[in-house]
Amino acid sequence: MAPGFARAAGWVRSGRRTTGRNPLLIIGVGLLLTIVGMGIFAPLLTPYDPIAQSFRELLLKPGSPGHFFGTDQFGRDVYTRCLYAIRINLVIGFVGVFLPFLIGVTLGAIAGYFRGWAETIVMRMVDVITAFPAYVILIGIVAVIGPSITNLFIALAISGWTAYARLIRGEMLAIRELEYVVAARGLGLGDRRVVIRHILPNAISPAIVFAMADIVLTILATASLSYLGLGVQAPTAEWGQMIKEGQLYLLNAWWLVTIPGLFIVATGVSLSLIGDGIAARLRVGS
Amino acid sequence: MTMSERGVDPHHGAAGSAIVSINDLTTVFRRETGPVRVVDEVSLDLRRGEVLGIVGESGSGKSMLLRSMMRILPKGAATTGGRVTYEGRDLLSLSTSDMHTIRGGEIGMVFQDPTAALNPVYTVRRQIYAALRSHQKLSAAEIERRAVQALTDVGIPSAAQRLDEYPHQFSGGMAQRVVIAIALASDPKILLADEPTTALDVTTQRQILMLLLAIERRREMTLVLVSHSLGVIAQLCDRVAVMYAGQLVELADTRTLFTAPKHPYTVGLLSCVPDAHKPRGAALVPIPGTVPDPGEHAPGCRFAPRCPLAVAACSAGPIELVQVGATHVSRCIRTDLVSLDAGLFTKLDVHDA
Amino acid sequence: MDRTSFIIRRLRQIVPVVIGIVVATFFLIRAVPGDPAVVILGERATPESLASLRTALGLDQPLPVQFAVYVGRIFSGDLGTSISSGTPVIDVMIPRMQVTIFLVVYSVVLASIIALPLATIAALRSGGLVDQVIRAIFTVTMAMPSFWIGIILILVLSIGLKLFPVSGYGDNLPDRLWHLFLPALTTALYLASMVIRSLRNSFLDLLNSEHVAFARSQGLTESTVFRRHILRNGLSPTISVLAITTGWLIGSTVVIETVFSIPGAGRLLIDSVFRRDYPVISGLVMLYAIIAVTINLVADLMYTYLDPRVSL
Repeated sequence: MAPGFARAAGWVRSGRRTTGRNPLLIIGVGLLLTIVGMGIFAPLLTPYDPIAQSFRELLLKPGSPGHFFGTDQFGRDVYTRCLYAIRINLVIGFVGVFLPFLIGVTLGAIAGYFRGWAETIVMRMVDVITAFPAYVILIGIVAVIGPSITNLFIALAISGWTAYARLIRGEMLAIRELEYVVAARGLGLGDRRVVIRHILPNAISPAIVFAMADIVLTILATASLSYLGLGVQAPTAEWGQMIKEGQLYLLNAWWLVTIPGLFIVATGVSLSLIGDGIAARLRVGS
Repeated sequence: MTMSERGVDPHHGAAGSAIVSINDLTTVFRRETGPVRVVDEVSLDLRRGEVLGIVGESGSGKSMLLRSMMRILPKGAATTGGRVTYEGRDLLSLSTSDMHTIRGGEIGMVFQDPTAALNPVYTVRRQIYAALRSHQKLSAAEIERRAVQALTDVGIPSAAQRLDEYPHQFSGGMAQRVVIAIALASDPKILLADEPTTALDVTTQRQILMLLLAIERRREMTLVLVSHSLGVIAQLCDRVAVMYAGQLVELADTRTLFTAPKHPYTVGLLSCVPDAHKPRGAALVPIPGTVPDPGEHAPGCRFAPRCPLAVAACSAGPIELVQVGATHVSRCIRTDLVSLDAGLFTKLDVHDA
Repeated sequence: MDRTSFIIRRLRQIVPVVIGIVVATFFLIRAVPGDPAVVILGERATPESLASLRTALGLDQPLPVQFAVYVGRIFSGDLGTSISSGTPVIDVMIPRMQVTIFLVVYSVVLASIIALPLATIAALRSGGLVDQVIRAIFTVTMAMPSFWIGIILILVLSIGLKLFPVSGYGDNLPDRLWHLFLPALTTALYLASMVIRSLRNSFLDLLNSEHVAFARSQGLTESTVFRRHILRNGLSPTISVLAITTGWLIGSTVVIETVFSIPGAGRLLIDSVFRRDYPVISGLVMLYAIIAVTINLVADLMYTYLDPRVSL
């Protein structure tokens, strides 16, 4: 796996060369760094606690003294909760993609390289899992194992690996017949070595591109499940959870749903711009 | 391939008057780096009843020249200057609706890849009906009769049965016959054929070329045949225009061009073709280098970087077309040194033999 | 390959998928950590009630027997009994799924109405202002959670401008169309974004295609060329995108139905999860999957009619 990731990291690192020509990529990276920074330095950026309730300051409007984005029904500062939620939502977004990526790449590589019954089993599983609409399978799994952050990761992994397996297998089928792979095998290199050193690094780029889009999808899915009450549970500050609670006060406190949503959109747009930038770079490279 | 009976007939080509006059036609492609001239101030007459060949490597602008005349340029390309005069009218400034009557009705066009030129989702019937109806009103019985006739005329056996088949059910050669039938549906006076045989196998190529020639004679049409193959050109054409990097670099009647070319590029093209005019044992030598990218033209001769005769003056400034014979022009300042026998692109020791 | 053998082959591909769906839903309740009966009834349930629930769910038998019974029941249309209401799962599910399907069809229609003109403009003026704006909107839409779009639409159009009801389903067709407009619009925005992107790209390819150039060279008018050679040819790839996205869309209605309190299958699924009504959950999960598979199948069959070259 290592060379593949080194290569992937290489694109991100050497992204400098293209950023000069792609202002959207710069905006995306800048926006994401700002959001990540806000999450990391949340305690420095706000004096309030995201969970402690303050019953003297219920439902203050945005722009109220000391509460730039207002307060919620428990008197908690909306800005503070949104900042702390960055930590939860971004971590789930990245980790929630990393696990399916790992599983999918491994199983897809096995299917594409060894073919035979291994391929049949993996691809049948892919077919069955993708037959279920994404939210339905996520909800089904959470219904069985119960709502919690750990179980959310499990549900995301079970439902999410299939796309990577399909992509990697497809690439592998094309690459395994190429001359240099045949040559590597002819030299007597072991299967594992051939796959890891020679095939994966070349097969992995579509999976990387998809992973960037998948992070956005995962952040949206996490927020949606939390909104349904099946993801991150109260009182943890999480955007979807905040919107779920805020909807009860829609008639008199519009900011409770609007502001966390804007954080989701900003995060999603930044990641999409970066994903598009990487995809464009890969296209130019190939 | 050798020159056909048509190629050696000196009278046929010279006799006709101009049916289309192209003057300083310039077409640009918009790129992010700026507009790029893909057809660069081309001036050329089509003579009534002639077969004019246009030859050049891919990227030389020959297809874009045809599409500019028809005003069917791809997205991003636009004609920015020049005139295309047909029967006293400039096609480039005609209204859209007048242009519709010209297309198909006066000038028809045949494309390179018949499987791409025919719409895959419609039967041949629908496509030939559309072409027949585009310039005239026809009764149901009449249109069917004409469609069958049109397909039969281009040599499609059991045409009536094949009307309801889809393009993918036709072989490449048969599909190209369908394309030709559709292009001729409204009896155009001029047929522009853009590499009509490139996508076909060798035996089919010859059949399609002979078909085009037969049609041109029978209908007394003017045929423009674009090709990158000099063999095809030699066989069919009265006159030949050679294009390089968007410019017309040489124009002459076929015999002159093949026996006494006056542009080093033409000499280079000829030395890539196996034919009777070359000494036995002469190697087929490809021209070194590649056609320059349209965005990167130096001010002087565009062929200079690949030309064995190039001197400093060649790259100094724009090179104009010069008259080198009664009906022969060349865009070269060293025409006196250009000759097939000079061994420009062959090794001398081989040539001496 | 002709159409019939294509269809047969396509149906054969579906068989293992359907078997997989049945197996997955069979194991759904049995994968509950610990004793499902205890999870459903709670720690304080009496041994008698636990035992009778186990019998009702068939959990007291050996696994192979359970599976045989499960499959046998499915073939007779019996998906078990809802624990919370005591009615057969199938009777609980079907009316709710009809609501969901109505919403999905409504969304697809709305999305097509939005997507077609915008994709056309974007393709004809590619790189132009409209194209750029559409692309920007696409990027932003894809980053918005659908439930949030729904709530914002309620906030602006229902609460602010009082144009649409906040929630509910409506009694007759016009009333229903009016009540479901915002939820349908919410999902349609996503769907339209996907369709516009794919349609714009296929239109662009077609605009530069040889058969369009050939059609123009015959003297056909621009409107004829657009109708017959661009719209018609752009249809088949769009159907595929629509099918793929609709499979996804059906899942996302679970969230939308919650936002707008629509009594559809999605709302039932969420309620059943909170009630731990596992027979209903597994029945619904199966139904959703079967519907998604069917949509893809229908799309493939439509494809064979739209593109005579098709072979898979």
